[in-house]
Amino acid sequence: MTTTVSPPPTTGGPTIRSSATAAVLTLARAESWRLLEHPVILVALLLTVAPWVYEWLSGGLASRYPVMHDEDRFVQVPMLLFAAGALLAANLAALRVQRHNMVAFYSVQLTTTAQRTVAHLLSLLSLGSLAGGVVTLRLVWLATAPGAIGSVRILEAITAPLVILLAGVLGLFLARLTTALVAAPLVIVGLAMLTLAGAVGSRWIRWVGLIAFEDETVASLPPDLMYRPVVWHLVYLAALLVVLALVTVALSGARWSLTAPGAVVAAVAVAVAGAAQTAAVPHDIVTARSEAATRPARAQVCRDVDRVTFCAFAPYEARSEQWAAVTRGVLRWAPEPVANARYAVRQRIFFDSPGEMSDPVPVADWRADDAAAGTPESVPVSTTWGDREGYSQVQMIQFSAAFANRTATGSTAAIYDNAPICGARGLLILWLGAQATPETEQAYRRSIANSYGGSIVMPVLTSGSGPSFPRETADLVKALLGRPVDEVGTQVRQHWQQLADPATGLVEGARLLGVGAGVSEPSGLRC
Amino acid sequence: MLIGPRLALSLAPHLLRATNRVALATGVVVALAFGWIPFAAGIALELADATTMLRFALFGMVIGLAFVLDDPAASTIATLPTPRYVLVVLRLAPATVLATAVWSVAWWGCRLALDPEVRSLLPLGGVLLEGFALLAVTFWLAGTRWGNDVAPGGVLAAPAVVLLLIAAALLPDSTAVFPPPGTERWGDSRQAWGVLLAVGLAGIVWTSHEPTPRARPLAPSVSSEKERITN
Repeated sequence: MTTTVSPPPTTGGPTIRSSATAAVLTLARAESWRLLEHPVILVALLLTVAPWVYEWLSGGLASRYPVMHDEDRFVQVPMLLFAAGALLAANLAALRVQRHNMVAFYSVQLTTTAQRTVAHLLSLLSLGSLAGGVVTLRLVWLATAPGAIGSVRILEAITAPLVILLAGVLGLFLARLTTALVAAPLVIVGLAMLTLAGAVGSRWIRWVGLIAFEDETVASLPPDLMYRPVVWHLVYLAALLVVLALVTVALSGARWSLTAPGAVVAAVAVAVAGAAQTAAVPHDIVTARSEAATRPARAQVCRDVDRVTFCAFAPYEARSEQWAAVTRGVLRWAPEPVANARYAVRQRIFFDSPGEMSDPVPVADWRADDAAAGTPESVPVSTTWGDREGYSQVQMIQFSAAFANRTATGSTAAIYDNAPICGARGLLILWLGAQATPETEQAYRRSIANSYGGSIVMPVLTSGSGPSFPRETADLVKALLGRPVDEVGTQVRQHWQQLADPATGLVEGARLLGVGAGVSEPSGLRC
Repeated sequence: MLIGPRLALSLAPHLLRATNRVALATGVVVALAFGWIPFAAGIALELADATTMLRFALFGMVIGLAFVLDDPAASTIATLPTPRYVLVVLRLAPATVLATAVWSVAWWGCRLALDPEVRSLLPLGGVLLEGFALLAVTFWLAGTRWGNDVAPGGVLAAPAVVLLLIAAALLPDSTAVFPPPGTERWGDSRQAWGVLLAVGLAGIVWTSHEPTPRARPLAPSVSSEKERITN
């Protein structure tokens, strides 16, 4: 039998065009399914969601108290893994023809290389949709946590799917540029370097990469104090995507006269949006941040829980439930006059000077603000709660110890003072702070494990202000935490006066609490 | 079946000709670029940054080497009497030497980019362990065939290595496998790399064995019998 294959017509009317469009759409549909079933995509998806599943199964602190206007940004980081998968899978899909030595067979097809490239580009929408679904599920899951506050910004949420689309287009672009399979993985290594530089670099490089990083050493900020030109970044990414897509189609044989004008316009958009997104933080935001760091009372909402007034920025008001659990845990062992006194807790934001990690907090400003707001001697608490980055758990014990300090000393002076607390008072403060809730106890144990030489510092909002406690005190508290809390708590209430007295030594305090054996007065830490 | 050094030497040039030299060369160039650009550009690196650059040099190198076992004639030479492990060793041994040499040059470049006072703190053995572990896992993946797939190993190995590296880089601090030298996590992460090296080596041994025993071919042909007698 003889079969004659006719070459595809080079010109044609609407019928040919519509059949070509139908062929492209059919191919796009087929390639979409192949992409979704591609081992690289499946592995990338598995590796992306695995930490979230582990977090869910282990009930970790990381997702117990999410701040949604931060989480919409944090979710972009693990999605970079999925983006790498999209780049690789799209590249492999476009090079399948060469890999299987099928180039000659494609000459008998109705579609041209450019049309097949368009089909590949369209097939990436399936990955974008999948990424959108994954991001949505992650954010919905976090938003339903009982400790969740704030709201998701849609523009931040759609950044990750757009990045996945862009990565896929980049994979196709590389496939049309070179048939070398090594190109795509090596480009990912280069992009990883750019991302790393963006995570630690200056503002302009943070926004040039695929996702825009913030200075994550700064605690969570209220939405109105943040400055993230997300719209410009989305325009930047979308324009980059259009440039790459049009150049890819042109490299596949489409006429440059058709693709070049659009590519040039998109390239201009890349330049404009790229410059706009790296602009300096506006003056009004800088002023608002300064105001919030020194005199936040006017921008905060206060609510009373038990006998404690909690003041917080919007939308952190609901965090007072977690703070109240801590203050209750501390006050339950205080004698009646102390437990029935009025207390105030005020949320604070602290910014280090650029390049500094040990600036003191502006105590004078805070005191003046408290006096004006009618909440004197308020205990500072951070905007960060939980264990988002593995180290923010320490904010829990810092607040708990600060509140215990306030109840034991009757003022907030010692909270900000760098002087070591050596005697029984230190034992009282640290034990009260550590045992307040299971989470503060966990944070305390972690602080001990991470401390140098066994002594502990309780800085205010991880600043340069705050007291230290000698190793002997820290060890005694660890021993006390091993005993039934009711038993120790009863002794604490009974001997409160002596334990809170700065003249009482550590040995005497340990004796009062029944852990006196082998204890000596601390000698280091200027005690 | 064992073969002598003479046959190995006679096979080597043919294997080199069939090797994906573009991938190898690109990997080498990327590794040297990461290792030497900071020094060439006069950028003074911190110790942690130098280690990061060294790691990126390693990533570039292993991605190039992920294609070292690819052979366009693999399906043809499968019928030859040369055992599979010989072909694997003849490719992997020079590749390992090349990788070690290139990585050493990159290490020297990163060292020079450091402040002279801290140059001695740039780890060698600890980072080299990472390198060998990554190489072993990459070679294992490169030699792995999934089912009846005839795709060259690099098609699977390079993407797999990239995805695993990104996943590893995203691990939280408590389980980090790429910590800066001198941190508490450094020692524990070396143990993890040691385990990975052992797993990778075991994987290489596994993928080097014959899929079907050569001593008992399913249907011996006259020509194969002749081959056997000749050898």
